[in-house]
Amino acid sequence: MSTGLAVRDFSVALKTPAGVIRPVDEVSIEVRPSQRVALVGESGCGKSMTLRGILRFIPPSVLDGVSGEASYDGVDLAQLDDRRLRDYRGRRIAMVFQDALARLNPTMTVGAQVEEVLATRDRRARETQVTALFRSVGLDNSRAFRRRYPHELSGGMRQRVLIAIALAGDPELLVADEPTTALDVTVQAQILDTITDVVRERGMALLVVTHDLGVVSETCEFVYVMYAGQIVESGLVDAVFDDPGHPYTQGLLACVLDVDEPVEQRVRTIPGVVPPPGSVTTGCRFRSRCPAAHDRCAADPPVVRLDGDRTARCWLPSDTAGEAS
Amino acid sequence: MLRFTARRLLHAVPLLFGVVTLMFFLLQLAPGDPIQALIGDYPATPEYIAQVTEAYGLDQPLLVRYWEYLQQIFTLNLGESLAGRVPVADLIADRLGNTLILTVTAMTFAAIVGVAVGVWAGVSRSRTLDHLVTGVAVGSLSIPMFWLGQMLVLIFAIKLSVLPSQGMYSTRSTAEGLDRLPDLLTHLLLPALVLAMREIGVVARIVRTSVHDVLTLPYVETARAKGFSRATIIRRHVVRNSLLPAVTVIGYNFGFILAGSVLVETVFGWPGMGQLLYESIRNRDNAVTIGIVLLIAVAVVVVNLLTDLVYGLVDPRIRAGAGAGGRA
Amino acid sequence: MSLTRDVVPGTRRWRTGRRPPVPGGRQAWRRFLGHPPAVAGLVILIVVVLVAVAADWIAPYDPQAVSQALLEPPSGEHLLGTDTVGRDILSQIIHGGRVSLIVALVTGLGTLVIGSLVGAVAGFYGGRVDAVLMRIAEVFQVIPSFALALIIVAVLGANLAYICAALVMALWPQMARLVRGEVLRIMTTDMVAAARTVGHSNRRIIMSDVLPNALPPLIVQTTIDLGSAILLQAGLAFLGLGDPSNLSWGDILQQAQRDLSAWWMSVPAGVVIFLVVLAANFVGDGLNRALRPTSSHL
Ligand SMILES: Nc1ncnc2c1ncn2[C@@H]1O[C@H](COP(=O)(O)OP(=O)(O)O)[C@@H](O)[C@H]1O
Ligand code: SF4
Ligand SMILES: [Mg+2]
Repeated sequence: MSTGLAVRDFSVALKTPAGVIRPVDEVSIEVRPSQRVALVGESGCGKSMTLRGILRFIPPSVLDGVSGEASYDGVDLAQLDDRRLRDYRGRRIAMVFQDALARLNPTMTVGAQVEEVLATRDRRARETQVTALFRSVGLDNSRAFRRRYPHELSGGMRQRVLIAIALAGDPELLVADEPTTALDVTVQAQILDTITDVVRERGMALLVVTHDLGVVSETCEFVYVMYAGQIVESGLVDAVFDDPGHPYTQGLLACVLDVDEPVEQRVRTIPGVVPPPGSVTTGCRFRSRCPAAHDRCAADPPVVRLDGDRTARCWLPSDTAGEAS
Repeated sequence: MLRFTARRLLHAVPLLFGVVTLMFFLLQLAPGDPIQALIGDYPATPEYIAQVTEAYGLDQPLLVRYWEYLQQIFTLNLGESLAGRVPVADLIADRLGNTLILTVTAMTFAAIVGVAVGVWAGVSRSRTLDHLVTGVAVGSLSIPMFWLGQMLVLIFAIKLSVLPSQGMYSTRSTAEGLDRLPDLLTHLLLPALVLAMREIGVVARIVRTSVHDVLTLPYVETARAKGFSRATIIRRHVVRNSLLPAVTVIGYNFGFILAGSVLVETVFGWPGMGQLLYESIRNRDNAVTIGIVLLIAVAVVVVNLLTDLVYGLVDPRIRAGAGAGGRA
Repeated sequence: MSLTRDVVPGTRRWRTGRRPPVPGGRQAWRRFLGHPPAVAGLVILIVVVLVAVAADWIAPYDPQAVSQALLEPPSGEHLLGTDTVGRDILSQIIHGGRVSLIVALVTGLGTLVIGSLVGAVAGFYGGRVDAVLMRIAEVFQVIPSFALALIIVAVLGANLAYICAALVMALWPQMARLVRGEVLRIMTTDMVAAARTVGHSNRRIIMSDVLPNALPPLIVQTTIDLGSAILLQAGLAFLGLGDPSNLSWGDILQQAQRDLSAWWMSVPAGVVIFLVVLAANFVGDGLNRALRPTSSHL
C-alpha cells in the first residue's frame, strides 16, 4: 500500500562563495496518496530548495549536502542510486516548473517532447496517448499544433505543454513549483484550474508551491507555511485560513483581503524582507517583522500543536496549547 | 523561411559589391603605372601595353574605369593571364575542382572529428580531458599550417616512406577512372589533415563549451525530471542543440580553409588554385592573383550565406525570424 | 533556474576619474603569475626579444654570408647546418626573429590604433556612422585575413612597411568590433550617464571614461594579434612575399620546401615560430584572466 511522500527534519546545505548556507532547515512535510498539499511563503523562503532537495535536483556544484529523511513509499530517495532514482522521476513523481519557455527544448516540437516520455513502443498508441494528453490539459490536439515549437506558443500554452509532459508518465504525485508565475493573471487561474482538475480526475497527489492563496483554499486540503527555511505553520487549509496560529500566516492572509481579487489588487504586504539563510542564528526568524514580537522571541520558539494536525512555531500559541514535540 | 532567406540575400549582395570595390581600389593603389601593376613585372611589348590600356580603359577617369571593372567582374571576365595569355577565368576553372576536393574533404573531416571530440570533452567530467582539448586547440591555432605540412611530409613521406608527398596522383599509376580513387585518397590524406587541423581545434572547443552550457539549461532538467538517463539526455537534448554554434563556426571558417589551401597546396604540390596563386605571385602575374583572391572572397560570402540558411533550418527560432539568441 | 544565477557576482565597473584603467595592478599581476602557461609564455617572449636585440653579437655568422658549405647538416661549425647557398641557419634564425618581432609590434600597434579609432567612433556615435563603418569592416573581414594580406603585398610589393600595412588591413576589423562592443557596453553604465549630466564633452567622455574602461580586452586582443601577425607574415614569406633584404623565419621555411629532406632547415625555424605564437596566445590568456577575472577563458 502506498504511503506517499514523507519528509522529516529535512535540511539542505548549499555551497556559496561566502560559505555554506542552509536555506532549508529541518523541514517536515507529508503528502499522502491523492492528497492535495500546498506549500506557501514569500519569495526566498526556501520553497524551491525544499522541492529540489527532496527530488534531488540540486547540481552537485552547488549542493553541500542534505540531511534528514525524504522518502517515497518508505524508500529514502536520498539513498537511491541514479538508475533507481530514474524509476521514480516522471513515472511516480512528476515535476512542473515555472518559466516554461526555458523548460522546453527549443529545437524540438512540443508534441515530440510529450511523446518521448511515453513508455510504449507502438507508434499508433503513442500518438493516441499524446492526443489525449493534449486534450486533457486544454490544448489544441491537432497534428499541426503538436508540430509547433515552444517559441511559437503563448506562455500559457507552454505551461500546459509542461503539464502534459508531467502527466505523460502517469505519475502518482505531481510536484508543481509556482507553475503560473510570469503568466497573465487570467491565464494563471486557468492553468491552476487545469492542474487541479487533472489531479482530481486521475486521483493523483499534488504538492504545489503557489502565491495564490485563493487557489490553495479552493483546491488543497493541507497547507504548509514556510518562512526563512523553516515550516512555521501547518494544518488543514480550512482550519489554518480560518484561524491562523502564526503571526506570519496572519500577515500573509491579511495581504489577501479578498481571495477572489487578482494579485494586482492586493494592497498590503508584510513590511520588511525575508532574512537570507544564516543571518538569524537564534530566536524566532520572523521577529524582526513580527507585530507581536516580545522578549521571549529572542529564544527559539517551540513547535506547538494547536488542534488535530495543526502546528505553529511561535511562542504565542504555546501559552494556550501543548508542545508538539 | 522565405523572408529569412531574402533578408540574408539582401545582406550578401552589398557585401559582394564591397569586396569587388575594395579590389578595384587596391589595384589603383599600386605604386607607379597601373598597367605595370596589372601586368606585374612580366616583360610586355608596347602593343600589348596599348591593348591593355585600351581594354581596361586606363585612359578614362576613375569612376568610368570603376564602372567598366564592375561590368567585367559581373560577366566573369577576370582578365588575361600575362604568362600564358589565357583568360584568368579559364585558368581558375581548371584548378577549382582540385581545390574543392581538398577543402571540402578537410571541412568534412574537421566537422566530424571536431564535433566528436567536442561532445566527448563536453560531457566528460574529466578536467584532464578538458585541458587536453583546450591545449590541442590552442596549439593548432599557433602552429604554422604549412610547416605542419612540411613536418608530416618529412615524417611520413621522407623518413617512413608510407605516404606520397607531392601531387594528386602517382605519376607511375596507370589506373583509370574510379580505380584512381585509392591513389587519390593516399595523396589527399596528409594535406586534408593539415588543412583540417586548425578547424578541428576550433570546432572541438566551441562544441565543448556549448555542451557545457546546454547541460546547465533548464530544459535539460526537464529531461531529467522525465526520468531519462544521462546518456539519453545527452543524445536527445544536448548534442543537437550544442551543434548549433558549430554550424556557424564551420561554415564561417570555410574562408580560412580556402585561404589555407594556398599554403597547403604549395607544400604538397597539389594542383589546385593555391598552386596557381603561388605561381602567379612568383611571376607577378597580378591578374591571376587578384582573380583568385576575388574568387575566395566571393566563395566566403556565398558559404556564409549558405551557413545562415542551414542555421535557419536547424534552429526553428531563427527560421521564424524571432532572431532570438543562440548564435555565438 | 535560480540555482547558479543568484551566486554570480555583480558586474564590475571602475570608477570615473583618474583611476588606473587596469584594476588592482598588483592583484592582476599576481593572478597572471598564478597561471603557469602565461608565465612560460612571457619568459619565451622575453628571451626572443633579448636574442633579437642582441642578434649582432650572438649570431655566429653573418646571416647573408654565403659559403662553400652547401646544405650541410648540423655540425660543430654550423650548429643548425647551412642552407642551399651555404648560409648559417642558426644565424638566420637569430636575425629572422628581428623581422618577426618588428612586424608583430608594428602590426599590433597599427591594428590597435585603427581598430580603436573606428570602433570607438562607431560605438559612440551609433546610427548611420556605426552602420556604415561596420559594413566596411565586414567587407574587410569577409576576405580571409591571409588572402587579404597576400593580395595587398602582392600588388604593392614585398617590403616590411607594406607587409605591416597589409597585416593591419587584415586584422583591424576584429579589433574595431571588439572596441565598438566595449564602448556600447560602457556607454550604458551609470558612470557615463554621470559624466553626461555633469556636461563633459564627447571627447572627454571617450578619452577618460570609455577607452580606459575598454582597455583590458584591447590589451588581450593585441597580444593575440601579435601572434596572428607572426603567423601571417611567415605564411607570406613562405609564398615568396617576404622582404628580400630582411630574411625572416618564413623565408627559411620557403628555402626548406625545395628539399624537405634537409630537416635542419625546416624543423628549427618552424619550432621557433610555433613557440613564439603559442607564447603570445598563452600570455593573452593570462592577461585575460588577470585583467578580466570574471570573463570566460580558454
Ligand atoms: N544557487 C544558490 N546558491 C546559494 N544560495 C541560493 C541559490 N539558489 C537559491 N539560494 C538561496 O536559497 C534561499 C531559498 O531560495 P528558494 O528556495 O529559491 O526560495 P523560494 O522558492 O521560496 O522563493 C534564498 O535565500 C536564495 O537566495
Ligand atoms: S515567536 Fe515571537 S516573533 Fe516569532 S512569530 Fe511568534 S510572536 Fe512573532
Ligand atoms: Mg521558488
